[in-house]
Amino acid sequence: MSAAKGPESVASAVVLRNVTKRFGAKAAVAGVSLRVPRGAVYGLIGPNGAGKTTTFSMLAGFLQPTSGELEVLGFAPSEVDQLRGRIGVLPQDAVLPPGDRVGALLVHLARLQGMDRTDATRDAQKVLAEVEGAGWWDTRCSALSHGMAKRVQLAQALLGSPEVVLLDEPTAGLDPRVAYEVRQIIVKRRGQCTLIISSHNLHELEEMCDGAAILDQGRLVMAGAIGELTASAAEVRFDLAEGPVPLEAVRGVAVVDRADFDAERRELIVYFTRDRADAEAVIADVLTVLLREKARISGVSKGRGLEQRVMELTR
Amino acid sequence: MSPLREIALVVERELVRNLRSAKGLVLAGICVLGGVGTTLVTLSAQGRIGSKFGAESVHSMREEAIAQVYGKEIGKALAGMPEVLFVLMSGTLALAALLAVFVGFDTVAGDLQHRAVRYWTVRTRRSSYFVGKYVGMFAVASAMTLLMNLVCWVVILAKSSIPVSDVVVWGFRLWLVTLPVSAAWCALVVFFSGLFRTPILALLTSAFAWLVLLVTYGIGRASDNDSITWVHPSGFDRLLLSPSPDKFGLGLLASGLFAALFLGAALLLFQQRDA
Repeated sequence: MSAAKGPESVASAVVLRNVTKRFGAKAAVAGVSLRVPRGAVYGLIGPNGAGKTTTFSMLAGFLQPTSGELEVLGFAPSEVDQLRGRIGVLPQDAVLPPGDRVGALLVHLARLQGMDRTDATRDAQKVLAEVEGAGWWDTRCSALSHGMAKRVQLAQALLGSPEVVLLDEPTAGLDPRVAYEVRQIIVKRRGQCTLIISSHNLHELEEMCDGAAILDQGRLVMAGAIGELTASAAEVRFDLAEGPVPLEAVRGVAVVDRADFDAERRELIVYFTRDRADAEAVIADVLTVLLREKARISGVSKGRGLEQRVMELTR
Repeated sequence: MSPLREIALVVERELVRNLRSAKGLVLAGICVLGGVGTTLVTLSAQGRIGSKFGAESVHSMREEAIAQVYGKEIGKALAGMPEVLFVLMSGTLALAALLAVFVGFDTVAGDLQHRAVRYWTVRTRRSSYFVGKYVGMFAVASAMTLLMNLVCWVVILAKSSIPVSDVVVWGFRLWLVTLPVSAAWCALVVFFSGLFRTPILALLTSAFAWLVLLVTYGIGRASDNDSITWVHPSGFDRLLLSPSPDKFGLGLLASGLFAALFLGAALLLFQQRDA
């Protein structure tokens, strides 16, 4: 594997070119090509066995691709010296060394990123405070609860304010409150770096990400901005309670290209062309018609929702 | 950051981690107690022999005894050395392999087991991490044998009339002789530690390898087949104790080659493996 020695200002934070990873005869990732723009919050989505963690592991340099090329900030992930301090990684299943104390471990890891002891100590204290763990400095890693350990793992990924942060299942196994808090920590980093998040939690990704790649059985099935993936700029859904369904009246609205009604889900789906009207204008026009026709509206949403889109695209 | 700096940081952590851990303290305690016990027993025997045979006879007996094991050249060179220090060196050499096994079996395997190694491989070259682990293990094992020797020297000075200069000069020289052997054993152990994700497997295979090499060495000695005795690093003392610079250099080379072989193989595998 080789990678171009990209300039400091490469446009893409991460590039995959026809990347394949085989474990024996089985291809965990098969010919995936992808670009993640700098500064994006980007999701890696897919069911179990889709190849998310394998892709993530190759980006972090834990695994080497069987073929194809990967670049992080213009360098191969194995070029540790060039990427030192520029990439932060939260591996999904890497346990913190149990005998180490949290503060000493973070200082050690920060020093390996090139900081002197004073800066390393200051930065370790800063990131630990950011994950609300300032009081854990002298705690042994073995004494941390699952939620505390996850926060410390996140803290080590944020050491030195890296340009690219890879987060593999950052909220997996956490109770809803801690998961929410971890999400808030991640969201605070938006705009400061490129965040690539691998997760099963589609609501979480839809909420946090600007774009995403959907993987299935090792292949890339779709990638793009969240709006494109969910078709939020091309369709609007109206949930209707029992009562009249003025389908023909809706079809008669000028900005509507097509309208269908799913009787089982009692969902009216309105399709439109982005060039002619935006989603908000379509919602306003269709709502007017529905109210006039005495339809009982229980909900309105733009697009299909990431979950539904993933269900459609994956097996 | 230079690879040397990376290695130094990994070594620093290994020293702190091992010397403060319960395992490290227990191993150091066992070394010191074993060393002091052996020293006291040897001093007692040395006193009895000395009063029975006189200094001159003891000197020639000592020379002959060492010559039987290491040859005339070394026997003559070491004849002036207090027996207790020779016994201490022999004990340190015998201990070197086991100490390396117990200090280092989990040094890499422990990080591989739950993938903690991933916190390092994104920050250091894999070669720096691995060499740092090896050097750290060697430094910890050497620090423990030095501590054991230092305590024993104090006991020797307190319990015998051996001059301070003899104890320090001979003692330090003999401790230095154990270092290349210890370095070779540490390479063998780090090889197995880097091979397995389960520390207990690394422990068992390292101990088994040590046993196989020991038995091979024993067979070689018993059958006067000198060539196969070189598989056992503790046998390199035959060269390292020699007053001849050439032979001493050969001993260093043998230890270095043994260490390089296992460390090189381990490094090659570690570079290729999925972390």
